[in-house]
Amino acid sequence: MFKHVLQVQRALIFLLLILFISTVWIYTKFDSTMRYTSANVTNMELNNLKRIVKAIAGNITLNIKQGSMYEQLKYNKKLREKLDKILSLYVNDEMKYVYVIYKDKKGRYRYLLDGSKIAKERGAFNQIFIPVSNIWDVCFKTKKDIFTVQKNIASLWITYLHPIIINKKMQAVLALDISTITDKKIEKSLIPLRMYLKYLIMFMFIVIFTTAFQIYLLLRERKVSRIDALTRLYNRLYLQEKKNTISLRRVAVAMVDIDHFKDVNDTFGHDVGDIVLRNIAKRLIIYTRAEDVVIRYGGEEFLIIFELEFGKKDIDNIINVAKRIQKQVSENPIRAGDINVSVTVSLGLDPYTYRRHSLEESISIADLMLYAAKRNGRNRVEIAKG
Amino acid sequence: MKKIVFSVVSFFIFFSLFAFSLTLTDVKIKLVATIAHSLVKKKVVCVDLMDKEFLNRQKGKIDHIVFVNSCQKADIIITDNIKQIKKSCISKLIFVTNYNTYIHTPFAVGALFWQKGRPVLIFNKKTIKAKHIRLPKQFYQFVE
Repeated sequence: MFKHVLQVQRALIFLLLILFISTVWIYTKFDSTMRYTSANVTNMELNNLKRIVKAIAGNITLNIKQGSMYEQLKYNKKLREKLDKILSLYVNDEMKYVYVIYKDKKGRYRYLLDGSKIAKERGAFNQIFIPVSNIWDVCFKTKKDIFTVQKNIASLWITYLHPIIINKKMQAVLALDISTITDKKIEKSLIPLRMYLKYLIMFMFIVIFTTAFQIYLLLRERKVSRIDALTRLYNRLYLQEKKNTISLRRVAVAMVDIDHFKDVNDTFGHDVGDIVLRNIAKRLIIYTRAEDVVIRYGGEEFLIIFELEFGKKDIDNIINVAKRIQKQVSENPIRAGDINVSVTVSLGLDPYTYRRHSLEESISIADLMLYAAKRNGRNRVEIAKG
Repeated sequence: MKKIVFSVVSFFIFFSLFAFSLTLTDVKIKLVATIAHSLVKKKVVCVDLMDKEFLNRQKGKIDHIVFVNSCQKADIIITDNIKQIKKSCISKLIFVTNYNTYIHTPFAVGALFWQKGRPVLIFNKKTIKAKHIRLPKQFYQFVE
């Protein structure tokens, strides 16, 4: 059950991580997507503007007779007013300014017509006009449509210029300033998506963090539940979980029991008994190798699963280790406060685990050997026969 | 001619670039300071800013410009309404912030205003000559 929960959580965290990374990637790509969308909209807008400028220019040229456009407008106020009115018809929230600029003899730009409805924004006839980019020069020179997408002029997005040519002579330039309304609308419409991605990333981060923390707690809990609180050795739950993964060919099993442990408890009390248990556990860890597993099997009973490094050839070494444990414990009394407690251990060893059908069978045989050691006077090692 | 056009363009692009890295107010202050120091050869120039809409009145000294409340103390007056100016101050250097006011005020030194999101700067040739003002070369192209 525990294993399944862990597996599900691991899969979940993996999926969330993939989702998290892909969302972060989408979020980082958002700016380029916005630029791409904006460029597409700009192109659409430009195509639209091309048609509009042609219509306006057509309207203007219809009202201008042969000759200089400037001269005709200079001396005909009514015509100026009429054309200003025509231009003003095209002015709206999006198409902010529609005006006509000409170049005087000194090469300065001046207003000819202006459709601006706001007096403050309206350029008077012949008023100087100061351009902020060189597209005006280019338009007068090339006599072709030109546009600029601006970033530095407040609330203006596109400036589109169209040459007014009468009788093959460049008369003026019709200018259309498009406000940032459309551009802002696109940006505004994409903001919720950006916000959604932002919150999604935050949410996923929280979920991933929470899940990772849960896995950490679960793993810690799992570790704690498999460790004996007194001796800090593994307990039988650990054995239960690991037994199916242990290869019988590569292990040997020993059962260790403290002799007359009940007498230790009765004579010195349970605190000293606990010290003895902890000390024996510590010695078992010291006398075995890192790859061997020491388990507190019962009250004063321990199970050692030896790892056979060299297979069957290692059996003699294991027997020697078992004998050394027995000898070391009997020769070195345990210090418990002010008193020395002399204890001995009996060991039952089954070095032929590879011949058994299961680990349980090997443990049972080692247990039988332990009883044999007890029967034969304790403080000894009994080894099972192959 | 090309040089002039390019200097005009670069001058305004410079200020336009400033416009949104700084604020519009910052740009206006820079422009006012540049014009004021070109017209008045003093280390600190006093400016009476009558057109409060044109520029938020600044406290203290900015770019060697001091904004004063009295036209008599001012070296330059910036206004959009000539009627606001006292008769005793008419002889001062007057800059207007509206084209209509400019064409009806022959004694104005020049005009500075924003139209269609772009700055417009004009110097009145006759007044400049009458007041014996020598403009830096960068402003020649704005003289009318």
